[in-house]
Amino acid sequence: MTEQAQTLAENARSIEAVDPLTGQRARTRRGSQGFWALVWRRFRQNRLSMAALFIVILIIAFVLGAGLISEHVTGVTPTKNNLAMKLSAPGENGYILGSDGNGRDVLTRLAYGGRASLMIATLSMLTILAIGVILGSLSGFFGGKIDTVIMRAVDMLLSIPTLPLLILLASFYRPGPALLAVFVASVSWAGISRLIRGEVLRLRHQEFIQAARLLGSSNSRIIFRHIMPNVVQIIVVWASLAIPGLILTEAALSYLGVGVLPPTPSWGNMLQDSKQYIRTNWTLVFIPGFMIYITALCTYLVGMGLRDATDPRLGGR
Amino acid sequence: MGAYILRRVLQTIPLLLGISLITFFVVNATGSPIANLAIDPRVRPEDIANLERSLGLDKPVHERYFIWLSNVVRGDLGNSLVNRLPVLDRIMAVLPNTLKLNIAALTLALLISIPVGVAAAVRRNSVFDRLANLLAVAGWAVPTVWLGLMLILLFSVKFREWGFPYLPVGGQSDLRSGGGFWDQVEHMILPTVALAIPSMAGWIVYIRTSMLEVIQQDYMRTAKAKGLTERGVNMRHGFRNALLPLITLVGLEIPAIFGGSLVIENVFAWNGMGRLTIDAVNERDYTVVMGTTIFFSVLVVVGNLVADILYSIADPRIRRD
Repeated sequence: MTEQAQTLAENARSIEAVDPLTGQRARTRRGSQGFWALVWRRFRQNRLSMAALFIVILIIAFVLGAGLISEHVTGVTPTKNNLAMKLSAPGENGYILGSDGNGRDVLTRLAYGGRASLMIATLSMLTILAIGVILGSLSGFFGGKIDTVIMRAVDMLLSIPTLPLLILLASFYRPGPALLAVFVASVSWAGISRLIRGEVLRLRHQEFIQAARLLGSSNSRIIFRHIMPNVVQIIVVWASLAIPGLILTEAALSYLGVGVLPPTPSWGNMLQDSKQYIRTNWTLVFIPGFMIYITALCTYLVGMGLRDATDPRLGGR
Repeated sequence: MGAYILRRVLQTIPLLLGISLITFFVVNATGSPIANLAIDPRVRPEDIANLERSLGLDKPVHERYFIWLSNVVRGDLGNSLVNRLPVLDRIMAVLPNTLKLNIAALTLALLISIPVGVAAAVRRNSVFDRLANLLAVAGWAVPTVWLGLMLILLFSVKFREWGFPYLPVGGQSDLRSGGGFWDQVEHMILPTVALAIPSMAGWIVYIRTSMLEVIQQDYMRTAKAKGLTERGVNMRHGFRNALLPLITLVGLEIPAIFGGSLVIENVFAWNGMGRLTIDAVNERDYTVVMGTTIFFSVLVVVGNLVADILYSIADPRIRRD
């Protein structure tokens, strides 16, 4: 029976594929490979986004190579104090990017700090997707009471200022990096779930979904086999545009002293540490903030490039 | 019209209840909110027990929620644990500073983003348009903390070193001279700019898109066909329609602006609600943290409400749905 249903569902899919109205959608669904190859080809033509992608890859290599940098380049751990040589300028006393107020090497801390910042941003992005996609598709697919409850929660989250709420959460539970990422996610899933709901609502009434239902597919099968492949594109673009915002949130929380807690370095708490030396050692303030800026800017540009590449109609707008 | 406003006001009640639930349970989910005072070895366990009793923390949690809620509704946010002053008084003392800063930043952001966004749309794909887009992206991604610190570095620290006229590093007014009007304005410049830039960047993109949509409308072509000047068409017919959605957008941006204010007030030692919140966090003064969170949320909800009502006045179509 299931095998038969599968064949029928395949047929339903090929019906959809020749539908002239949804021609583009069919491409998305049929082979993800073909679609993403096309996206990559369009993406490559966007020189700004390609340059940004290159820089993002460099930054990721830099933070993943934190251990190697600590071992082979600087020779110190991120928390090694050397008070005799504190506040060295870049290049002085063998510190490539200088040393901070506790005599710790800035370059080593920058690599390890970036690891914390990027890990939190990535982890919260994944958590947001897990929450947002599930709730959004439930809401769009089932409608009715479920929809009302979830969408009221979304409305509420969108109108609460999230930073005070995060500060409240973080100050009471003093979370480690992983839990911090979950906290950030728990107040940030509203946007994507509303987006997914809208898309699912639109797809739900399309012929290929009705065909699948007629053929006896279960709800979960319809959601995972027929709806999900169609929203992947939206999810990927949204995720790449969300990362910079999450990097900035982590930086703000750590700067305010409720994010990543010392002695673990993060770009945000490095800014907090160095603020007092702004008159004498301005590079201490400049460097970690500049890294946050470049990372947020480049991931955003990659996201924009990806958005234009997945939806050529938006190009030039 | 009246019915619409009434309905919209009633809608905020469940919203506010939800916010109060979330805030209360975040603070109380792990039991006693003052348990973390025990980290300090100077605090004796019996002191904590006494404090809990005096704060009513020995009652069951749902009972406490309703006691707390009924107090909040009557405007009693409790007393600060640090100096025993009513939380509401502490908030009211610094609220004008926060509002002053936020309104200044909002005004600055609008004054720059509206003309730039409209001009970019009118001259689509020109050098100006590309530049505006690039600046918008660059401004959106900048970390506010770092932007504030860099403004201080350049305009306060370095300008002073180089012998240029320089701006103060923080605070509201010069303590020695007591601070006249211009002194206060000088102190506001840097935090306002730092707060305005990220919102401004987002709005430039939005206004440009909105204006581009309007430009393609039929009535724009009609106006041009009637022989109006390009400028007249864009200003009289285009601009006014493109700005309508901006009301909602400003409403939606209010949470982000207050969030930015939390950070910027701490960078510039600005004596507002953001600084009060962070000081309270560091002092483990949970009644104040709860109070400011609730107060921020109410400000945002009211801001959104006002934006929606204004929108319904500006665009009558919205009233019948």
